[in-house]
Amino acid sequence: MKILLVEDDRKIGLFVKKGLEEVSYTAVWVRSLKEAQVAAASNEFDVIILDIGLPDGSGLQLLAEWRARNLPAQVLILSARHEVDDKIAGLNLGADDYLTKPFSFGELLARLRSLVRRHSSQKKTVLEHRDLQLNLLTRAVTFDGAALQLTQREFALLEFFLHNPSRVLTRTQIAEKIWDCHFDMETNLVDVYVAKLRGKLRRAGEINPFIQSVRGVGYKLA
Amino acid sequence: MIPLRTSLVVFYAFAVTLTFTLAVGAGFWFIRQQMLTGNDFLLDAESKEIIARLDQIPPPINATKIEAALREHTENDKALFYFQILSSDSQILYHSPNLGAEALTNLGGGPEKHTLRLAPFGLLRVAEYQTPAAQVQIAMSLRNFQRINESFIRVFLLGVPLIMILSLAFGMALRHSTLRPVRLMQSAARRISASNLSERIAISPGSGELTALAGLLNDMFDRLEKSFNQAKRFTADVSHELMTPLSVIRLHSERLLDDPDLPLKYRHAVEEQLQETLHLAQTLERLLTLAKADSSALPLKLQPITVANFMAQFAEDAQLLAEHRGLKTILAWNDPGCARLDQGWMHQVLFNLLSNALRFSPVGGTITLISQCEHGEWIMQVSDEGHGVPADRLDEIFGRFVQIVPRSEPNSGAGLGLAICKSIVELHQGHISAHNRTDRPGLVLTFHIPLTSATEINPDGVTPLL
Repeated sequence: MKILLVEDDRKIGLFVKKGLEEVSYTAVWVRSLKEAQVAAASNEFDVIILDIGLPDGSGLQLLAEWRARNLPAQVLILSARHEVDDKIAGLNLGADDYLTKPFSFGELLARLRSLVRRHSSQKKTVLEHRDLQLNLLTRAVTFDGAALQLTQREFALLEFFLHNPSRVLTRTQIAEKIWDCHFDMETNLVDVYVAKLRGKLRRAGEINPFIQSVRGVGYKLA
Repeated sequence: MIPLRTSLVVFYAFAVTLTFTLAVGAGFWFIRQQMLTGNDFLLDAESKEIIARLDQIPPPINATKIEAALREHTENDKALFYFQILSSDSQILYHSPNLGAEALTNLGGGPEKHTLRLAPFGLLRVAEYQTPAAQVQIAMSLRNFQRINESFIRVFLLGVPLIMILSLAFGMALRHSTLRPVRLMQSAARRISASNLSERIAISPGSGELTALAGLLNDMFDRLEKSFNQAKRFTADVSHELMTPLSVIRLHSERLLDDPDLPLKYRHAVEEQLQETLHLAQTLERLLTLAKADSSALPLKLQPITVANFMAQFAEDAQLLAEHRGLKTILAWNDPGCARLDQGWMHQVLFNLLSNALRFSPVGGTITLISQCEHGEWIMQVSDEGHGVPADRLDEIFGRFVQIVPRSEPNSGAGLGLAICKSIVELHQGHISAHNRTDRPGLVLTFHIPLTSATEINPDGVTPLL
């Protein structure tokens, strides 16, 4: 995977570039709007990590330009939350994801992986994983051959996991998806729900949980 | 205050009707005076002739002589005039035949003319003239005058309501055209919100009062836009300048923690450093939210939302969170009402209130959440079973960095959660308050948010002024 990193801060730029290279991604790091424009012109990147506050202008401008000329790369916006009016502003301009500073590298990586593997099970009506089936139309869930009763939230959470199999979902991603919350909920709501869902998806005598914790990042289906 | 649109029409109709009434009244009064003057003039002219004839009668004067002198004349004028001649001792000497059996009242002399009613003839205008030998009374019928009087009353009775109706109709048309610029200004002003502050009211050419008003409003929008933009730029700058170094700290701390070779004695320090960094970022985030809310630069996506559905969703979260902390919950909400809410931010408010209650409730305690829609308001109450707050500090708890419990206790937050609740509730045109429970120790936080009627949701959220 080839990644273009547009970030004016030297320390963050260095850190992220190095981190990406450590997990065998190719990363090109540029520090201004102008350089980014030139670099992106080659169309060779799978993902562009775009910081909003650049010394020579707003990254959102650049994003609008790219989307106008149908640049195929996925764009992940990296910015402090209050730097843009609303994260929707960025997504409306055609960003594929949004990560707020201060971010964790694990989360950045998880999101990059999600971006590349998006476009998968979006159109199916029955989602399956191991011996779990979830029907989006009838909202029926069967696990291990038996019907499973889930609350609205549990259903939404499970659906989110099944839409993203083998992908790490971060707590922020989950909170934003299920609760539409702007920032912290002052609670460990996500963990509590995952724990509850796990409890319902546990078979007698089984040790491996259906939903695995990924330390410091979030959760993934196992 | 009576709205301009009503007072304008009422005033217009009143003015037109009053003008009409006065004009018709004055016209009639004038015609009436003219007619009476004309009548009186005719009476005077007639009297001259009669007196001249009487003067020709050789004294002593008596009924037969008068009869002879006046017969021809009265016969000729019988359609117009009635005559009666009295002797100096008020005996009727002559009585014109057209009077029949009736007699004219003696008016006691004097130059003025009188109007009297004599049953068979209706109103009569009567004049008296004194000659040395006799008193002459001449009367004229006012039948024509009366007819005009009656037709005036008809015109008046029909005309006033008609004019009133017509002037109301014209008034409404006038209102429509007069208030058009005001309506345009209003809709422009309504369109201008935090998201499109650069829009302005179109100013029509000319120098009218409304143009001046539009100019003033636009100046005000200029100033608003400037302060909005300043607030936005400030939060954006602060955000960028502080979150970027915090990112660096977080990235490095997490990397250190990932390193299995990190000695345990450092591991704790780094963990603490990471925790404090996140806490700092969170506090900063909240402060910036408050700063934006203060300058109304926080964009709310208001949508009509059924409170019961919203509560049903939240109930599940609340129950689960309370259960997780070993607390019980009582949840109740009544029939649906509909309010214009930003779902994300309202969730934030509910979670903040809930986490506040969770923090202060002893294990095994009960948190009570009651949502009611009544009297046009959504009223939400969150009660805990903690120690409550001293009565003199109840107002303070929505302030910034205010700690209800001493800061040293582990479960104290940054002291911004309730301040954010207050800001967000107020951005929803509501208000929030705190009081202590009366049945037992504990704090009750209550917010009120106005409901909208689900059937007539106005996309602007504003009732039309005109």
